Formats: sequence, C-alpha cells, structure tokens
Amino acid sequence: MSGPRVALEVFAKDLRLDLRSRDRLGHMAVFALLVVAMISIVVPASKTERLAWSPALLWVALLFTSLLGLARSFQSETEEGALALLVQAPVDRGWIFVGKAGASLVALIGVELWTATLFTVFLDVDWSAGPLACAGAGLLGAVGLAAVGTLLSALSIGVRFREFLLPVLLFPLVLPILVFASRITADALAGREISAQLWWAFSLYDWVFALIGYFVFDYVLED
Amino acid sequence: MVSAAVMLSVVAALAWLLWLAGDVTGRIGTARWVGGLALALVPVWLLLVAYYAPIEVAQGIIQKIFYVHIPAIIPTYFGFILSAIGGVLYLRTREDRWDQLAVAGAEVGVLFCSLMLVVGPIWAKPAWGEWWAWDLRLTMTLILWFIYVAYLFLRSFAFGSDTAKTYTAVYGIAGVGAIPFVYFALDLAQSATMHPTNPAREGLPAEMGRTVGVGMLTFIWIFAWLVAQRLELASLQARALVASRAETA
Amino acid sequence: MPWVIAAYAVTGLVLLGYALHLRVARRAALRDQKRRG
Repeated sequence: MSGPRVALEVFAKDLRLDLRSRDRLGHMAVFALLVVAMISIVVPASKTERLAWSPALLWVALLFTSLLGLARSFQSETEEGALALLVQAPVDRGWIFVGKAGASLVALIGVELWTATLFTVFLDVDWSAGPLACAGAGLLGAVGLAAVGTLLSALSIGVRFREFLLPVLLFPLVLPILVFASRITADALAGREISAQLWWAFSLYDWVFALIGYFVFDYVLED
Repeated sequence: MVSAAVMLSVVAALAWLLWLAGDVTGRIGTARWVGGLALALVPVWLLLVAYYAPIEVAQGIIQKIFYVHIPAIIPTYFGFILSAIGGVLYLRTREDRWDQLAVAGAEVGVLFCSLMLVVGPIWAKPAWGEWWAWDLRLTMTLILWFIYVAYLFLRSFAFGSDTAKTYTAVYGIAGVGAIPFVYFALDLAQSATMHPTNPAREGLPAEMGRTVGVGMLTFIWIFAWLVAQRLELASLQARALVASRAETA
Repeated sequence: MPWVIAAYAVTGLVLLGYALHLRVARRAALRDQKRRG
C-alpha cells in the first residue's frame, strides 16, 4: 500500500467518523456559537469598534474552538488499535500525519465558515468587502492550525493533563497564525492593501509545519 | 575586541557543552575551570558597572540595570538552541545523553528568560513609567518563555515513559521552527510601538559597550557552568532510574 | 537606586539559588549511587 493511499484511508476514516457521530463537529459548532455570543454581548456596540476588533476576536474564537477538535484527533480507543495496525504498514508514517491533518483541516474549514456566519449575524460583519482575502486567510489559517494542532495532539497521546497541556503547547506556536490571519482579514475588511510579504510568510509557515509534521511523525509514532 | 571575545565564548561554550555531554561523569571535572572563570569574571563585571560605565544622562543611575539585563539575552537563546540541538541528536541517535543535554539547556534557559522578564520591568518602571509594554522584544521574550514552559510541562507530565524524550525532542524542534515566524508576526503587529530600550548601536559609548560585553562574557560562562551541573544531575538521575528498574525487575 | 540594587540582587539570588538547588540534588543522587554500590 502506498503512502498517499494510507493518507487517504486515514483521512476518509476520520471524516466518516466525524460525519457519522457528529461528536466533534457538533461540539465545535456549539462551542463556537457560545463564544461568539459571549463576545457579541460583551464587546462595545459601536460599529467601527466592532469592525476593528472582529478579525482578532474571530481568530481567538477559532483558536479555542479548534482546541476541541484537535484534542479529538488521537483520542478514541478504537483509534489506538487502528493506529497500531497502520503503523506497521511499510510506508512513511508521515502519511498518517497527512491523513489526520487533512481530516482536521476539513473540520476546521467547516467551523470557520460557521463562525464567520455567526459573526455576520451577531456582529454585523460584512465579509463582502474582501471575500477573497478573507477566504485566503481562512484557508491558510486552517492549514496551519491543522498541521501544528495534529502534530501537538500526537505529542500528547497518553500524557497526563492533556486538556491543559495541549493549549499550553499550542498557543505560542500558532501565534503567527493568529497575527497573520487577523491582520489580513482586518486589512481586507477595511479596504487596505495587504502586503505580499504577509501572504508569503503565512504560506511559508504552513509549509514549514506541514513538513515538520510529516518528517517527524516517524519518530512520534514509534511506540 | 570584547565582542570578539563574546562570540568566541559562545562557540567555545557550545563546543565544551557538546563535548561534555559525550561523557558527563567522566568529563565533569573540567567544569571547575569554567566555574572558576565565571566566578572570576563576576567582580570584574561588577566593578566595571559601578566605576567604569558612565552614568547616562537621560535615565541616571537607573540605566545601569542595562548591564544586568542585556547579558541575560544570550543565555536565554543559547538554552533554547542547546535544547533543539539535543533534541535533534536524540532523535537521530536515540542516545539518552542528548536528551539530557536538551533538558539541561531548557531548564537553565528558562531561568535566564525568567530573569529577563523580571529585571526588564524593574528597569522599565522607574525609567519609562510603566511595568510592561507590548513591544516586539518584550513580547518575543514572553512567547519564548511560554514555549520553554510548555516544553518543561510536557516533559514533566510525560515523565517516566520512553515517549517523553521523543515528544519533548519533537516539541523543541517545533518550537525552534516557530521562533522566526513569531518574530516576524510580532514585528508586523507592533509596527506602531518601539522598544524603549533600543539605543542605536552606533551611538553606544565605548565604555558602555565594553561593560555590557564583559557582562555578556560573565553570563555566558555562568550559563555554561550551570548547564554542566544540570547535565550531571540528569545523568545521575537517569542512572538511578535504570538501577531502580533493574532492582524491581 | 533601590531599583538598581533590586535588579542585581534578584539576578544574583536566582542564579545562586538555582546553583544551590542543583548542588543539593546532585549530592543526593551521588549518595544514592554510593548506597547502591
């Protein structure tokens, strides 16, 4: 069985699990709703202030919501049996990372679309000011979160205090994602020009961590 | 000339620590020379700070905190890099000694990083009126600290299992990978404010430059000596773990 | 002035404290090792 084939299998299995049980997706959706609702109630009402803070708040909300999803990435018990089988396949284990991260990516994109909708409904955010840029930021952000999150999720398998540990491990590393994505989004919504440097740095970040995840997974899954 | 000595010291300290890790118990004797060097440098540095460095016009004597704050930068990053090197070497060779080097680097590094975060505000409050500012350097140091702490938490929570060493090695690599991006991102986000303590390098008077340089030398060797001690401890503890496992087997 | 002293004192105390902590731990580990022979 070839590497990409393994990745596809892992990806499909995770996705099927997500859609069937609706655990992960459902919980993330409700959580996002909660967070956005709280933000909307608490944040000052002036339209301009909202517009200024929305991109950042959006990404903070996404960050917390993604934690839920990422923690699930390597959690189920049946998982470990299936994982042990996969690990024996004579392929680069990095492909398992690709499959897992891919499934998380899909979930994250779903959550992003949902959260963006919530922001429109509750906070009157008009994405049509820069839809392409926002979508781009969303995609790059989702890829980054999926890559780093999947890697760190694997690093905390069987470790104590995982619910505490995962965010502690995650937040400093994904800070660039938050900064890049909210900056692009803010600039797009305000009609400002977005520096090319930003796009390059963001893409590079995603690449670097996708590669790190891929190459390092061989070592990570050695148990 | 002092800066040449600083760069030389960094390379020498790195080489020594890598060599030391090769056989800690056998080679730890050399640490006394390093310790002696560090100890000898301390009074030199302090005397320079007290009598040689001029009192700066704008800030007055408060500015002298500069000479204990800046030298902590190199050990902060040095520890990080040492940790990453140890991690990579561990993943490739699976030899415990490199994992021990990684831990030693991380622990001593976080110590100096914490010092920066404490001494910085002690300087900032009287000098500029506020304890903290979200400028590039301070924030960068804080994020670095978070990464360090996350590393140590991971290690502590995963302790005992064989995977602990692998996990922390990987996280170390991920951490180092993230650093340049964090820097770039913070630079972008902070384009408004400027670090108040940024004297233009050209404008730094020679006496100040030399004093801070000697401070850097002092701290580099203190750092190296502390890492060596921590390394020995890690080596001893690893042995104890192996022995106790053999006993219960 | 007290700020300056505080800065240097904190640094000194922290570094010394850590060095002492290491020394105590190392002594304990060495004693353990001797005991096990």
